Amino acid sequence: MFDWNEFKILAEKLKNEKDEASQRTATSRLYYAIYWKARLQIISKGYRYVRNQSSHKQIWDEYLRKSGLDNQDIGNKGKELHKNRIKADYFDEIKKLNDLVEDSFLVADEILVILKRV
Amino acid sequence: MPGLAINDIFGSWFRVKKTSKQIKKNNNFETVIPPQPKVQYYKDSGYILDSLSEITKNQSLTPEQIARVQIKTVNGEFSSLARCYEIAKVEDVKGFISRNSFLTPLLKEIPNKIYQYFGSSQKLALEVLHEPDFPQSSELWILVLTELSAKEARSIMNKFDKDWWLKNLYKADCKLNVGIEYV
Repeated sequence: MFDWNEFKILAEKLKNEKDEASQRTATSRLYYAIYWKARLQIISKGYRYVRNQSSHKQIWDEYLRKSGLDNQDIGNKGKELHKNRIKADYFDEIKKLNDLVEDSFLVADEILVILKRV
Repeated sequence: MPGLAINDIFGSWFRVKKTSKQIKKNNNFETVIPPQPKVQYYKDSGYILDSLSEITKNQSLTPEQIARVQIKTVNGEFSSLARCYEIAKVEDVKGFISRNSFLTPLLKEIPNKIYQYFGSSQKLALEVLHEPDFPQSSELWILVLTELSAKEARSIMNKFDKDWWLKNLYKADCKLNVGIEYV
């Protein structure tokens, strides 16, 4: 079984590269590392998402709807990370890509800390 | 929707039906008779209704009339929101808000909350985002357009989240998010 944290390790390498493609890909891979961590954790607790709809929206929405501020914080930060990933993968222009990448890493680390608590 | 002038909506005249019900016993049946047409006429001399619900409660409206009032309402609400937010894709945002009008009070409330943390001159934007493969997954974003570093901005946003947003985001029903955009 693939260890999705490998994506985070790759993202950390790419973050140190100067070119825009590496920075964008770092943001995208980082997102997937966190998304899969959150997804596997919630599914292990019995959650099932619907097929043919965005699994990303469903997973983060589920955290938002769960009780407890920690769960809601995961959903809230997960959506921020998802937004950054959409911009990195689909938007032609990003004004301050360096800040977007740095922010994504900050948010990702925060999500990982909270995921350990819930 | 305060201050909606009748004259704006229906023209010169319209009538208001009384809402009291009358029950008439008819053999073994109890028939609920619609309110009697005790008609009052209001001339268009600056008479103001307090709310759309008051109009719809008292007046039988055609779907076209209701749609016309709703469009006026959305346009009015949107104009007031446009004073608080930069909106690049107006039609996207307008369409989203009209489909999710329950978000309007939050959209009005949030700027002042954000100003408490990012400063009263903080610029904000509204943007609709969705996954390209799932257009129905669209969500509205309030973006804090900041020139701060990621570390500074995230620290402030975390305070905002902890103090207020996490306790209130249930009102958004997973349709509205608050995030950062670095400019």
